[in-house]
Amino acid sequence: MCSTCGCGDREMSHEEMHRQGLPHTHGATVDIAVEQDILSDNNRVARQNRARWSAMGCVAVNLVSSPGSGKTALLEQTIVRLGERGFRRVAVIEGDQHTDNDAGRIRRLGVPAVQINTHNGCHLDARMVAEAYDELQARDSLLFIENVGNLVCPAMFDLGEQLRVVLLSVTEGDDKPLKYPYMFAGADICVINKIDLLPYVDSRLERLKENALKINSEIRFFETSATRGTGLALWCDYLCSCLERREAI
Amino acid sequence: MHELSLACSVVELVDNELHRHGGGALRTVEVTVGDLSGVDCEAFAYSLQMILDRRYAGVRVALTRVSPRARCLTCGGMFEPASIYTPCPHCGSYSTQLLEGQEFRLSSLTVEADEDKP
Repeated sequence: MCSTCGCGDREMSHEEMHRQGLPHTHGATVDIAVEQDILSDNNRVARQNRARWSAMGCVAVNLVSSPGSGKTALLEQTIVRLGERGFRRVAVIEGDQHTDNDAGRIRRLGVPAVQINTHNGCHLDARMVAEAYDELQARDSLLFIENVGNLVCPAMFDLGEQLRVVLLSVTEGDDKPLKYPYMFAGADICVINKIDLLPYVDSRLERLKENALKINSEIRFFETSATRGTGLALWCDYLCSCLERREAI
Repeated sequence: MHELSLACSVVELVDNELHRHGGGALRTVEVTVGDLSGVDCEAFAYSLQMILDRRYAGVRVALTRVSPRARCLTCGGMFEPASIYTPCPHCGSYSTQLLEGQEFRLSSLTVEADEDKP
């Protein structure tokens, strides 16, 4: 029996039971050590997604940004440009609080798209995306996941993507990475969109990049204007190269 | 504002753990939250308490905060960063590694003792 509170047997001290996480009493109560990551369930499903997409020859790209940065416009133009190169193996999972407007825009380009409506939710999680993928069953494809427009919440939720791309438009200000650092910390790529508007705003490209690099020294940049077509060739080259070396990413 | 959905994940973990240990009246739920985990502690604690109150009367939420600690990858100096992009105060480098402060886990539960258990 332990000398602290009288729990257990003679073979094991109270401290030892704490260390091993065994249930034991503190007088009238029992401590149960758990020490489990709260996102462990999401992370487990994300790992399953990653393994599944890898086995199906897909490269999944989680596209995150504030509302109105141009995620859907970039996707539309990417699909068109890839199509012009003869590459049509693209599938899209769209996330929004309400409406299937974005999935409609993608389907009009002849690309399969599934809309997830999160209603009161502010982000997609791995399980929602797994269910949406069940409907798509895409193979050997670029799988774009357009997250809910929000630079805060989606940062915490791994979906199982191989690439996380944060899209930022120059109209949002070049200090945006510092204001929403978690999203930039977890991203592989930063696409700077609406660069055709640079002459009309105070944002400076170099300052924006410096700020993003303060948070994530590995982040890689692309500069685009989805509506004018600027920078899309390099962006599409990069996506194609990802698909070619998909085993390595 | 994803704290409510995070709180729901905690309740799921709590339910599973209690079930595994054969139930008992829940007294305390202890959660460890790093100051740079991206979780708003106040909103999270409020959400968690609200959901738990409906399922387990009289339960107390105990949050343990963890102060951030980082190591500079350039000079090796240790420091307490104020954000996830605080430069090293010794050499000014942004190339740093956060060692502590991103924790977000269910640490322990306290339940009323069952006479039949140790």
